[in-house]
Amino acid sequence: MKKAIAIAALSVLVLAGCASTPEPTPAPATSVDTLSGSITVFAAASLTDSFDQLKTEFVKAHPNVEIIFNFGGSSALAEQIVQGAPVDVFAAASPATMATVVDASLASDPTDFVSNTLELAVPTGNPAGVKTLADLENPDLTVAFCAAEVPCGAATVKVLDATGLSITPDTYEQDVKAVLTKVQLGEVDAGLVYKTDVLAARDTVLGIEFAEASEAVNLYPIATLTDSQNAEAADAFVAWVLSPEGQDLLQTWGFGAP
Amino acid sequence: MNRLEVAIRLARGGFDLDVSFSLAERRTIAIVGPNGAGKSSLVGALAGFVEVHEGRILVGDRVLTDIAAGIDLPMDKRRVGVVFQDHLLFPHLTVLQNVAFGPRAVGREDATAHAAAWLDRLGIASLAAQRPRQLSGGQAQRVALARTLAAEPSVLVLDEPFASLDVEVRDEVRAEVALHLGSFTGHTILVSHDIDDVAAFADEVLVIESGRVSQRGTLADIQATPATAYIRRLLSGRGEN
Amino acid sequence: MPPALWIPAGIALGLLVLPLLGLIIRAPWAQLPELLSRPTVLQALGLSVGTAGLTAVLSLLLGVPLAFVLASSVDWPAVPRRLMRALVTVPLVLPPVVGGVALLLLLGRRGLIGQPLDDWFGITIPFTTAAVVIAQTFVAMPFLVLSVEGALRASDRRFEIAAGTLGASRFTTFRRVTLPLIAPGIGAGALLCFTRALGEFGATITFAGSFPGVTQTLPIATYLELQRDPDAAIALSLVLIVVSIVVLVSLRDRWTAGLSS
Repeated sequence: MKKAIAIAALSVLVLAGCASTPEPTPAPATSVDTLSGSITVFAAASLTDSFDQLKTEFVKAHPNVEIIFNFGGSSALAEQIVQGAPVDVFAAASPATMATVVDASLASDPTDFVSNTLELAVPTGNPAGVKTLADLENPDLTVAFCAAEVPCGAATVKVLDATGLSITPDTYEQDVKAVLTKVQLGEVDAGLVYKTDVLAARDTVLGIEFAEASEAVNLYPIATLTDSQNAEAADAFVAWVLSPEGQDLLQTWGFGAP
Repeated sequence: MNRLEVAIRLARGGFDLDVSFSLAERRTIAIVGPNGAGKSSLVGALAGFVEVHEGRILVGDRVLTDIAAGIDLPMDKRRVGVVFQDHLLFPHLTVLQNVAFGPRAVGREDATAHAAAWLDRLGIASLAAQRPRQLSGGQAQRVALARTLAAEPSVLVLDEPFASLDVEVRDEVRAEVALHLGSFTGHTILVSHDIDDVAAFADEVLVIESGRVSQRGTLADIQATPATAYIRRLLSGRGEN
Repeated sequence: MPPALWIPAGIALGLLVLPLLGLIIRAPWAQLPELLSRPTVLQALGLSVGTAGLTAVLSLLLGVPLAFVLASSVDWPAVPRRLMRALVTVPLVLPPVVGGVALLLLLGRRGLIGQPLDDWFGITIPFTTAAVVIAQTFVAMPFLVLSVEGALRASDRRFEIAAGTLGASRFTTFRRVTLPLIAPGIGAGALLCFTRALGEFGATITFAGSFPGVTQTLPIATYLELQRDPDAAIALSLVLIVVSIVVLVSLRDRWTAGLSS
């Protein structure tokens, strides 16, 4: 008799347990969930902060994809790709650097996704009292530019040509972030960087816009590499960058429409 | 009278030395004793590269060390020359430059000529342009002697000068050195564990064992009444080394 | 020597030699004369050799005394002794760029020493050729210090005692006995220092920047050139290799003599 009661009690408990387990909600049936693996993205140094945020949003929608970034001067990155670095996506700071990769038959159909213009950056407090681009002609000022070999340097040369100013900097840095760092550290009185860099640096530098910046707008192209080992995920990332939400995000970082 | 007066105490890494003796000029005293007895410390104390804790070292009325009075002359001021067991000839200098080193260091104008004269006197002028590594053991020790004498020290210390030489060469070099020491006007101290060295040079003998003097006197005195077992072994040619 | 050692030794040799062979084979030999006579190239070469030379001299003047201090530290208690050695070796293990950042924080316009220098004397160091020499000295001097210290440890101190008993003052002994005996170690150290300074990139570009004729040394010029004109970069690389080999070969005898004596 006791045995029977025990079994009955146990059965009731088991049934009650089953009944109280909540029904699992079915996962939304979206096609992007099939993406997985990892992709390597080479991107211009000026894209550092914006692309980090783009990655965070992308991974929320595609949790099984891992994105590995390599930020640097676009020309150095292009050279590495040509030399055989295994890359899935390349986002360059100028059509010229992208052309290096396209000419080597490693990418095709690049799409311009944003534009960027130069801006004067000075250390907080503007110790040298810089107001305009022409002020940089003063030889007593310490000035940093990008080297002409990198896109921001090419833009700098264009701007100087357009304005007819002759400014000799004290150093030609190998990428725009290096110029920004020198300004942030107060090592130079002024540097020419992108608008986006000034924004990303928040209150560690002061930005001074100048009219002639529009003479040299840098177009940024993006492309999937033909040898990509994960073309599906790579294309998805590029599509995300080009999507309206991606574009909005990029513009909050100071980029212009392509 | 120009006597060498030594009365010192020193301690060195768990070992201590307490020795005193006195020597007239133009005389040679042989310091003998087993390994570890304190002979090297005594050489160091005389030459000035081992620290003395108590006592005095005087050459005539020149004070080299007087701890109580706070005097301890540096090596280069003591005029105590040392011929080392492994000659320590400067490898980067020629024989002539080695011998001229002392005179040059004190600013002597004719240092090179003076050195050449000493090489002549010891019959090794032909070695003048050689480097120490090209010399045989016997040649090197002769050069070492010339180098030390050329510096005109007032006290000459020979620290086991023949121990590194082959037996055949030893007698020959010993005889030569004895010859030249005959004309040395200062005080000579010979440190050795070899009874033949003692017999060849010494006017007096000082035996040191475990940091203390165990016997002193002429060789004849010691041969007559050896005071310790070590001395008996030494005299029979079987001394520890 | 067991014959089996040839296998890993052969791989090691390959690792060291084959990249250089690759460079020589890929070099644009036909365009070499034109590439190398460009004024920017000669400028960078002159700057590199000049600054590396100054670095070697500065390292000799400061590093040899430091080597003596380091060699004498064997008598110190454990903590100061190990600290001393660690401090001297730090630049060897630090990534050069980190060294450059550290130099900026010390000697930059807002640096610990750099700010007073600028405020009181109007002297700024970054972006000058002096900054290049300082950056190179930071990374290359430890090579010289450790080489000289090794020679000191290996030398027989009794020679100095012999010199003293012959009447030589401490300075005379130092000048005529100690220094000549460690000369091979000093030579090897200066050579290592020079070639390391010649190849220095990270600390230089971070601290001194890059400007042709002032701070753009050959390694920096090569790196920038690689992004625009790889052939020119290869040509510059060849120049660096040739200069290094010339220096090594011209001092080879004294160097190996020092290592074997």
